[in-house]
Amino acid sequence: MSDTLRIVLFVGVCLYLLIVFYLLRKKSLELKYSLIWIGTGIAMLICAISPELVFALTKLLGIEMPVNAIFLLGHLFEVLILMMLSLIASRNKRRIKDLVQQNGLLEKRVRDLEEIGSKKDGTEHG
Amino acid sequence: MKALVIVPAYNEEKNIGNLISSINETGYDYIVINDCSRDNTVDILKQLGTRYIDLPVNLGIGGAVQTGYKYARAYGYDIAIQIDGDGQHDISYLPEIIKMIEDGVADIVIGSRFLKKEGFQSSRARRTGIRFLNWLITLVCGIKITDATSGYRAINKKFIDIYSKAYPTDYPEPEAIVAAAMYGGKVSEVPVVMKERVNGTSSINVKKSIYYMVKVSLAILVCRASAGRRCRVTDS
Repeated sequence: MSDTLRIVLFVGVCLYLLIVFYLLRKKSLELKYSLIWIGTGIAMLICAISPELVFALTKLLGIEMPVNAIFLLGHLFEVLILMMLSLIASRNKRRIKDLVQQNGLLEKRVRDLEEIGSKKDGTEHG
Repeated sequence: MKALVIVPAYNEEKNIGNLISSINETGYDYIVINDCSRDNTVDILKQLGTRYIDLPVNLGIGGAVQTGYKYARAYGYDIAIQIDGDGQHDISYLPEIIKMIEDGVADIVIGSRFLKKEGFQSSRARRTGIRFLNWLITLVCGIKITDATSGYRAINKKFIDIYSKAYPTDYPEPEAIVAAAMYGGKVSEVPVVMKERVNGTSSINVKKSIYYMVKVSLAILVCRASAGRRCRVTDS
């Protein structure tokens, strides 16, 4: 791997991590969900600093070219993150449903109370 | 000064009855936050005529306690004290803790089980983890603390206002201390005795503990980073 590429990758990953931390600071990104992004960033940083690890991993996986190993691992990470996002979306959907139902039940209770209240007024003035 | 005891409770059907009886005896106002328990906690609360809020969705300890702070703010309380629903916090320390807030000794008073090392001291693994967090908090904002994870804490009106607007959701206790420092809050500790959990199961286990340590440490760093120059060191 050329030195230029290593420097470019290193700077790129640092920029990426800075963006993640910026979003965390602004509270736009929830820390819980950012953990896997940060983990990925650290893994990429390690690869950029010591490509020998990548070469070793390539051999271990029985892949010819290191760049293919990186693509494969990159895609696997993406699938993992997308799966995680699907799980989060599903959980949120369930919780919103529960909230909506409780809200509906609450509205009924308030309406019943209002009816009782207006009935009382009715008899007072009636 | 009006004080409110906030009792977050999740699946505490076995412990909550005893706890409510003892809190009733103290005469302080209180509000139980039932965090969408799966067991019969809410039925017991209804039976005892407890003042409670029933959350329709589980939020976790951070969200539940923040609900209490929002309640405190809405009803004009000057002091809010968190007492965990599992009965591990000994309420006999309430007057002392409340007095410290009333006298303006501190903005936040935390009951630490490690100051005098009396009572339930938790497992060695947990103690090591807590010591690390104590150190990290001191490193990051200068506040000296011995029990960063203690939920037994009282806050004054300034922080009822601040926390009701923003409070960490997962494992909030250590992060909340750093957040307090960001607002120039004075944090003090008093020695308390905590009891071992009598019934039910704790919501923390080994795998969760590792996740907890990583997450909380990172959260503390991010919290500090968000403050920029705002973080002022205050002596405890």
